[in-house]
Amino acid sequence: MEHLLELKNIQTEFKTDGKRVRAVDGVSMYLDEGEIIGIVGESGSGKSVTMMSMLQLISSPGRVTGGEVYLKGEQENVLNYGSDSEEIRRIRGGKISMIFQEPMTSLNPVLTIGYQIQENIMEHLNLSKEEARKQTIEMLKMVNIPDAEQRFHYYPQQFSGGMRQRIMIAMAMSSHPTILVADEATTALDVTTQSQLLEMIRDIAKKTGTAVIIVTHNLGIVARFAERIYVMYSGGVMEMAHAEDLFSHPEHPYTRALLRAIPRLDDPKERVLIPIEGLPPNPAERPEYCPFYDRCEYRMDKCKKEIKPDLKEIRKDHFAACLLTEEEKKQKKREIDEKEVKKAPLRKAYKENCLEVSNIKKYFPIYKGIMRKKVGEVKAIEDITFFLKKGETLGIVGESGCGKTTVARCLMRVYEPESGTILFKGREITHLKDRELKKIRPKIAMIFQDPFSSLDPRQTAESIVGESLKLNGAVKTKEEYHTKVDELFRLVGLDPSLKGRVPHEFSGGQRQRIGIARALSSNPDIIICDEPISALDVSIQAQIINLLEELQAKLGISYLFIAHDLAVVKHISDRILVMYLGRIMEIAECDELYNNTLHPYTKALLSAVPVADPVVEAGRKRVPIRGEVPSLTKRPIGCPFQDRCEHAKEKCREAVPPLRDTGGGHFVACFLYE
Amino acid sequence: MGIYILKRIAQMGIILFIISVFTFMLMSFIPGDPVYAMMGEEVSEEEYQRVYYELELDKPVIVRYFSWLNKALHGDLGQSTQFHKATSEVLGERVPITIYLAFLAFLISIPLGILFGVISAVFRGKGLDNVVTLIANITACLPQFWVGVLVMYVFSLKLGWLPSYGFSFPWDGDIITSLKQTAMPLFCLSLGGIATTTRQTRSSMLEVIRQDYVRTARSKGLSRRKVIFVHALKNGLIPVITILGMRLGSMLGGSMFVESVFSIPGMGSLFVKAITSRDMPVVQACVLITALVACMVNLLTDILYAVVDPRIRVE
Amino acid sequence: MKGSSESVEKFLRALFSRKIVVFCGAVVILFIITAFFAPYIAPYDPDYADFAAFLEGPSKTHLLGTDSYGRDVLSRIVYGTRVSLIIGVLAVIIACVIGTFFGMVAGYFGGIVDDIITRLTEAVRAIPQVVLAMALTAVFGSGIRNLAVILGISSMAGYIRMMRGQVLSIKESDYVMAAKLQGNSNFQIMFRHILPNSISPIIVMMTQQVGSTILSEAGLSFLGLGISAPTASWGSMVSEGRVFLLQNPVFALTPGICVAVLVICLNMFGDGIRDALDPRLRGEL
Repeated sequence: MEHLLELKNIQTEFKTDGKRVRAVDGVSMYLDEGEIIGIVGESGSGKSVTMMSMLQLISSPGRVTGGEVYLKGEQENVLNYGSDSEEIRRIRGGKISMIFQEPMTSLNPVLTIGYQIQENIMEHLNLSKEEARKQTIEMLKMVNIPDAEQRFHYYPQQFSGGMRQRIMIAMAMSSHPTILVADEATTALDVTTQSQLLEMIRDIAKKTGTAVIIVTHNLGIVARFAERIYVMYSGGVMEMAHAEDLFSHPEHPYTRALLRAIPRLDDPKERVLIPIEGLPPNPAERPEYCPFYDRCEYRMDKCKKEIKPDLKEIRKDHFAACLLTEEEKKQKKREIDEKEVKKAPLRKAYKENCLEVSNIKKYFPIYKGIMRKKVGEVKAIEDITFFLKKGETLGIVGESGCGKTTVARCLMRVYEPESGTILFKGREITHLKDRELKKIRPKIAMIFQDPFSSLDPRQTAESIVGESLKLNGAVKTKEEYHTKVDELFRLVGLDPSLKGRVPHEFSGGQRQRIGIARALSSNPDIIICDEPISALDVSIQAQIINLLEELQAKLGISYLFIAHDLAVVKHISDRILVMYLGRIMEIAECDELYNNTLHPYTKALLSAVPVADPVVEAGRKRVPIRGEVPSLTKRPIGCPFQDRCEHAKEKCREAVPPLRDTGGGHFVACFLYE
Repeated sequence: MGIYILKRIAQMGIILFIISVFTFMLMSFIPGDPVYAMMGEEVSEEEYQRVYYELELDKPVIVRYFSWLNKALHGDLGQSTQFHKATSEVLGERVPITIYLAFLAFLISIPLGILFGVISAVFRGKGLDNVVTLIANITACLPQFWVGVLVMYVFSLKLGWLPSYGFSFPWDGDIITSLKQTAMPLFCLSLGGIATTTRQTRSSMLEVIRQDYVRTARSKGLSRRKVIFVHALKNGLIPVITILGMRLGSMLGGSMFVESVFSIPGMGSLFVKAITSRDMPVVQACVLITALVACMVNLLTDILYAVVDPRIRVE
Repeated sequence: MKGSSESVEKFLRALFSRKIVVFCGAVVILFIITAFFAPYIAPYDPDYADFAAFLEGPSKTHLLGTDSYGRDVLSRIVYGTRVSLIIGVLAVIIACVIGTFFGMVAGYFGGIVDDIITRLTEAVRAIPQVVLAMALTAVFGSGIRNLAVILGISSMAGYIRMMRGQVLSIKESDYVMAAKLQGNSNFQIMFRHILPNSISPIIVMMTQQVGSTILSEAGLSFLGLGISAPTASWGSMVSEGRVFLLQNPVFALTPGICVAVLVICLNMFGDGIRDALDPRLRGEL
């Protein structure tokens, strides 16, 4: 059977610092009509570059150096067309449309969205301007843009991120392509928006018979949406199989390792993540042999002797690029399973509260005009009440604008709350002045989201970790300082001999370890972790999660773990606090929250998170959610969730439901449970 | 958009106010007695008293400033000490010449600079780009006065094609003579402007070509021409437009040299003469006028900017 | 604070990988050597007037001829290098130190301090730089030291603006927040965290400003507002020589060529530094 699209041995090189880097190293794949496939891989695996290479969108200093692309209806290898030829332009946007990751920057800021879609239609469908305009409005309606006629004349910056991505979908589909490539199209968006958009893409594609390629790093997304999956690593395809088969019987050691490393929403509490040690090879120095060899648990001597293996069919429709025979793999698997599996570190449970927060509020003034007159306030957080026990982890989840970072900053006393109290170990710190705060500061430390921007690029690792030791007089002599710094390095699993290096000489995971060492340096009681792993690759995430858990068991620290990834939060936390638009919706123990979800928002949120298992996915009940998270300034009166809630009643529109204990420490702010 | 323009006008008002204070203070910065500085040391007691009161030196500085400002707003910028005439009279004939030259050079250099910049960006890395960039890099560094001397040597002294000095407006008589007289001054004035605008347009276009929305445009299968002229150009020109005011300012500054080289009786040559003879009222007037013109152009470009960039126009 | 030797090495490799940058750097160094060893390089005393040989064309005894007083043009050009470079470097240092400080204060503290500094900077930028410098010479007078101060003041606004922008973006970064939480004072944050991270744009701006300051100095001297006779300066030489274009065009034109070559090389070298510091550009060139 002829495939709709077939890529053969694509090779793409980039030239940086005079070195040639093979970003894509011999990728072959195919796509059939109407099919939805997923390409999954970590950053730098070459998944996006493969797609860009296919359409000859690689620009200098990159170059497609080899390979063939066949598209149904095209007589020859598409890569033979000139990069700006009539033929390739007919394919680009006409037969194959693409949606990119960054909705904020992917639309031209000085052209109206209508123009940008209309232009695409006129280019590929040979319609008159008027007809194209009509079609554009049709397309905008199809992706649920309200008031499409008026919005035609709007500029991209007048839309939210989710809306812009809808516009991108409308634009991509407007030329009736046969293939749609969604390149990390929903990565930058909130979970609920993400699932809305992917469902929309799937529905439109199924209706129009368009084939879809979903490119993502998220295994859950491919498990939910893709029918067939390619797993990429370090510029090559490691494994290809149908979704169910891939997740139930992964064949390649990389896929197996990956599935052991990622937390899942439906995990039992005691599950231990097994991280993939090491780092992906630097593409400039990729070995001739299997690129996963250095991190592979299944590796054998023969793997290093032979060149990189090609994909071979292991059973029907299941391909993997591994040299090991079935027998060898089974043997290795037995060995690995026999090896003592690390148990979850034992933690002591304490009774006393480390932190008690009651009714804190934080408003930000809005200034306008030349004279900077205060015209209003953004009510960032309201009536936040919770407690944190010693040695416990409390997860805070919520989508953008829910106020989770503001809460963290109030606790750190970067902000001073308008009202309410914060008790740290029984001591009121809500309105402390700078001088007294200085004594408290070392006791509440923070780990930041972005390991790139949270470390001063001009300081050495040593001075980053040791700064607070010096500033707070925790050490007296030079020797003591160095001993303490070395100790901190070892504590977070870094070699102290690396301490003279500057941040950019470390990998992302190592940088985050430096950030953790810095947080530990002042011997804190609480560490606020603000999305500490979301900037890391999945194979690295498990390392950091495990490290945090070990440190907690060892040092008895309390964590306030802020994240948008529910699966991670659920894995690491004892209790979870769900926020929406500046208010707490629900607080409960992890399993209680998952098994006995009360608040309609929590239900929708949990249902939006895909689980990396197609079988489980197929059996899950989906809770649909309307609309998008509104901006804080447009928060409705009454329950903040009311205009997206199915169960909203008259009462919800009038009053804010109070946070009530429904028993067993399960708090919920909803009138349904009164 | 109306609010945006009002805001800009208010900002310009503040800037002009600060400049007026600065200009006024030029007078008081002069070391020594201002009367001696103006009239020379051998001034009679009577004369000294007269000037002393005329300058209102007996009053506090704030009062003097506002009285000076009040007069300045009515067109009275004091007496020129070297010509013994009202400053406005001295400047009256000279300012139009300088503004004429500067605006003409501005109008020549901006479109040419943008054109060369876009060409250079479109052919990035190719031969044409290298040539344009090299020439632009070199000409941007040439001293204007030296270019003036050089072209004068070649076209007036050696070839005898153009007159080496003099100025007349085209509407005041012979257009050909006027053109011949202004050809070399305009060339000198425009050269640097073309070079700088070319460099700026090129780098701004290259920056824009890297943006995600240009990739989107390419992924839609648009032709290279459409990608560049519809999607990239408008964005690329925004930074070029924002500093048009400064471009005109540098034209006004350049006219100081060009007028000196080609003996043109404009504001520039007057300014130089006023500085050497410490004719402070004229110095003040020249600074005020250049700043005022530059500010006006800035305001115009701000408005133009709002027209081009919808991010300003719509909230 | 230890820098990373690896990144310095990378920077140097990127810098020297382009022939044109190496060439321009060499020319600049040549000019610096000339300025430093002027007495040993110049064939004659620059102020010695040989009235028997005025306005001579180039010859074996006077390689570039003589001026209207019979002084050796080449010797005067050699000494003129000193004036240009001293003023260029001094003015840039003055502008950079003061401008960076005010820019940092404005960006870091914001509020009314920022408003005042920003408005003042905008006002100064509204006056063309040459005009501003000229107006200041009317007040301060000329001479090497005054000129350096005047040119420094008139180019300060650029540093303020750049530094303010830098601070505004760095201030929001997580590592500054982290530094604050560690207990650093405002002063420590400004000088230990923000300033070191703004070093590259400051260096780039400085290298590019030396050239334009030299141009301004030459311009002012040409107008008779800068270095005055008998000190040799390139600008005033062009001004003296233009009257005698027909007798000895070399006299008027060569000093200008020197200005142009020095400034071009300085700027190209500055561009080279900028590109080498910008990792994004490294790959492309």
